[in-house]
Amino acid sequence: MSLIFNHVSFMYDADTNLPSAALQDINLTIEDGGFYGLIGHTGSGKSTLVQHMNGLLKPTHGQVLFDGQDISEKGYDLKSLRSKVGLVFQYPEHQLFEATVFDDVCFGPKNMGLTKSEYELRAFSALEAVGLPHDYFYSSPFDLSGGQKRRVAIAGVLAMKPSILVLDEPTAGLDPRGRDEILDQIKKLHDEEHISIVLVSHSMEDVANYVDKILVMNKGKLIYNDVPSEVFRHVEELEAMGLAAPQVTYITKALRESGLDVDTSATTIKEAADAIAAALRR
Amino acid sequence: MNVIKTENLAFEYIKRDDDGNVEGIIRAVDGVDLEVKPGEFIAILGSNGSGKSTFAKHLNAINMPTEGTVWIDGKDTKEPDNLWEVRETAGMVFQNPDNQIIGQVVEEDVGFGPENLGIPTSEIWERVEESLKAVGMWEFRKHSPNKLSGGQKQRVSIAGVIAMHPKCIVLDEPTAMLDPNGRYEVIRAARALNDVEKVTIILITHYMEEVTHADRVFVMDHGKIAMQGTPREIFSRVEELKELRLDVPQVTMLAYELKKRGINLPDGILTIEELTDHLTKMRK
Amino acid sequence: MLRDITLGQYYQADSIIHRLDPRVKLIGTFAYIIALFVSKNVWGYLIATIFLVGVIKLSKVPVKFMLKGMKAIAFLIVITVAFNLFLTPGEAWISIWKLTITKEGAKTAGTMALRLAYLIVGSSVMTLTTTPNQLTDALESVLGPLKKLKVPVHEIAMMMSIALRFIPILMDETDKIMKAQIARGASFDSGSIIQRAKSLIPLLVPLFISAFRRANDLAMAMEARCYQGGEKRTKMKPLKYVRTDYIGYIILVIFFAGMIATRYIH
Repeated sequence: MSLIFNHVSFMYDADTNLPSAALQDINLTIEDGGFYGLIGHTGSGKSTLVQHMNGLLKPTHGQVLFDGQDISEKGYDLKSLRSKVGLVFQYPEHQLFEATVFDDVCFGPKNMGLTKSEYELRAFSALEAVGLPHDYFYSSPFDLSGGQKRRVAIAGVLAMKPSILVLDEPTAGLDPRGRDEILDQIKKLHDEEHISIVLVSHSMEDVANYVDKILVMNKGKLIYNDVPSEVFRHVEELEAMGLAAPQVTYITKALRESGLDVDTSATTIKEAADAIAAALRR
Repeated sequence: MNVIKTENLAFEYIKRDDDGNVEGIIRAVDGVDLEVKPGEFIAILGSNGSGKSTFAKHLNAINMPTEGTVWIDGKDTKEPDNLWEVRETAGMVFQNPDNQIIGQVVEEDVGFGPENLGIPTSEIWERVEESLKAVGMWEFRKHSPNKLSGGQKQRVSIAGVIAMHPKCIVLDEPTAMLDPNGRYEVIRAARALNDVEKVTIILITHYMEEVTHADRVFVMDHGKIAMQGTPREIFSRVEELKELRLDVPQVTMLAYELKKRGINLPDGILTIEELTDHLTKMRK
Repeated sequence: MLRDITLGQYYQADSIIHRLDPRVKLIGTFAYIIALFVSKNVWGYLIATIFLVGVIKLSKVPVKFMLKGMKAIAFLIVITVAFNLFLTPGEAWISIWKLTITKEGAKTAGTMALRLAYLIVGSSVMTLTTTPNQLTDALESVLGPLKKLKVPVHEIAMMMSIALRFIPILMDETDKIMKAQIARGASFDSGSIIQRAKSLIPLLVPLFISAFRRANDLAMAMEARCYQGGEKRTKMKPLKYVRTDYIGYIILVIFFAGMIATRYIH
C-alpha cells in the first residue's frame, strides 16, 4: 500500500495573517517495500512532512493519498491509517507510561479494538522483532537501559502491524554499538517483515549505509529524491543547505583531485575501500 | 600542579526494588586514577552506561566519592569547606540544553553564576560580555533561550560557565542531543576556549569525530579506564574500541579497511588530508 | 495549539513599559486588580479601559499577540459567565427550557466576564513586559520585609521564575507526547468523562516523569553554578528607581484615586 503526496503544501497558522509555509508543493510516493532516508537541516520541514504521513497534520493544499484514498476526506478512518503508517517520534522512550514493558507495547494494538489474545500476541511478537530479551518483558520500562527503552518504544508502534514505519532519528543519543544495533534491527524489519521504512536522520553515514533512496528537504521543499550515490554527487548543494555528504565521499573526491583515478560514487566505507584499492592496483 | 587529580576513585549506589529492599550495589565508577594538567584538552569516551557521566559529576562535587579522592586545583572535594571553591574552579556543562538554562533572557542566564559568587554588578556585566563574545553569542544577548537552536543554547551554557572564570570546564555529553551543525558549533567553541583562553577542557562524549583534536583520550568501560593515549594511539586499536561498543572516525575506519585489503598504511589515521597524502605518495 | 498560550511569556520589545522598574509594574498590577474590584459602575470600567489601552499601547506588544493568549483561557470566562447567568437568584428575565436567567444573573455575569478579562489582560501585560528574573527581583524586594518573619522570600521568587521559564517547554512537550500517543491510536477527545480522564494517563505519566527529570537536571545545573540561595548573592540588574518610575507611581495613584472616586458617582 503506497503513500502518495500530491502537490502537498502546509502552512502553520494558516488562519491568521501571519502564515508561514512549512511545506511547499511536495510530490512524493513512498513505494511498497522501499527504504527511504529523509534528511534535512533542523527546520527544513522534515518533521512537518513526517506528521502528514499518518494524518497528524493535514495539508493546507494538495492531497495525501494512502492506498488510493485521500486521508483528508470526511469520514476517513484516521485511526486505521495510524496503525498502517506507524510513526516513531524522536526519543520515543519518553512516551512510555505503563507499569510493564509488555503492557506498554499492548497500548497501540489495544486502541485498535483487537481482542485480548490478539493484541497480546502482537505485543509479544513485536517485542521479539526488536530483539528485546524475554527476561525484560515484564519489568518496568523505566528500569531498562536507554537502548532497550528505545526498542520497547519502537515495538509499541510495530505491534500495530504497520505497512510503513516512519522513524524520526531512532539513534539519537545512543552509543555507536547501540546505533548499529537499532539500525540493523530496522533493516531486518524491512528485509524480513517487508515493512517500508522512512528513516529520518542527521547522519549521512547511517543513511548511506542503509537506505535505497534519499529524500532531501530544504526550506519546506523536496530537493532530491534519488539513490544515495546520485544525491551525494551534489556535495556543494548539500553544504549550502547546511548538510554534508558522508566523509568517504570527500575522501574519494580529494584522491581524484590529487590525480588518483578513483570512482567517486562510493557512499559507504566498504565501497570506498574497494574503489580505492582497485584504483591503486591499476 | 594538576588542575584535576583523582586517586582510586570509586562511586557506588544502592539499587532498590519497588518496596525499598536492597537489590544490589552498583559500582558505577571503579578505581579511576586521572591527572590533568592546566591547559590540556582531555576527552573521555565511553558507551552508554560506562560510568563516564557519573565520573564527570565528581569533578564538580555533585557526586561524592564512595572511595578514593578527587582534588580540584589541589582542593579535596570531600571537604565541605571546599565545595564552592571546587564548583567555581571546575565549571560544568550538561547534556540537555533546555534543562540548564535558568534565565529567560540569554544575558541574565550568563549572569546567574557570577551573581551566585557575589561579584559586583559592574563586573558581572563585563564578564557576561566577554563570555558571550567568547562563544559567539553576544548578538543574541537579549533573546529568549527558547528561540535558540540546540547548539546556540549549549554555547550560552558554556558562556554561563566561563563567566564564573573557572580553571577548567567539564562538558558532560554536551552534544548528545544536537544535530551535526550544533555539535560542530559546540566543539568549535570548546576548542577556541582551550586554544585562546587556555582553559582546561574535559569533554565527555561518544562521538568519535569530536575527540580527534584532544591532547589525550581516556576510554571508560564498566567504571574503569580501559584505554588511554593520544587520539592516534586510541584509534589505532579499532577492534578493541568495537569491543567497548565504540567506533572510530570514518577516515580511520576507511584506512583500516584499506589495510585489510593489503594496502600499507600507518595505524590511526585521523584526517582526510593525512589519508590522501599517504595514498597519493604511494602512487608516485 | 498549546503553544498559543502566551500568558506569562516574555515578549521582547523596547518600550517605556518594558524599561519601567519591575516593582512599579508589580505594585501597579496589584493596585489595578484591587481597583477592578473596587469599582462599581460603568465609569470605573471607562477609566480602567483608558488605563489598560494606554498601557498596552505604550508596551508595544501587539494586541493580536495578547489576544492569542486569551483564547486559551476563554473557557474560564465562559464557565464563570454560565455559572453566574443561571445560578444567580432574582427576578426572572428569560426562561429557556428548565434554565432561567435572572436580571441580576445577567448583570453579575457581564460584570464578572469583564472583570476577569480585564484582570487577565492586565496581568499579562506585566508578564509580557517583564522578564521572570526582573519579576523575581521585584517580588523579592517588595516582599523583602517578610524575610524578618522567616518567610523564604527569595526561594519563593526563584521558584516562580523557574516555573515561568519552563511553562513553554512543558507545553511543547505536552504537544509532542500527545501526538506520539495519537500515533499509537490514543484519542483524547471522545468517550464519556471517565473514559476521557482515563485516556489522559498516557499523557500525564510521561509528562510528570519528564517534569521530574527536568527539575532534577535543573537543580544540578544550578548547584554546579554555585547557587546557594539568596544569601551573599549580588545582582546583575539591581533595582534602581529613575524619574519615569516615580512618574509611573504618580500615574498609578491618580488612577487608583479615580477608580475609588467612581464609587461615589451615581
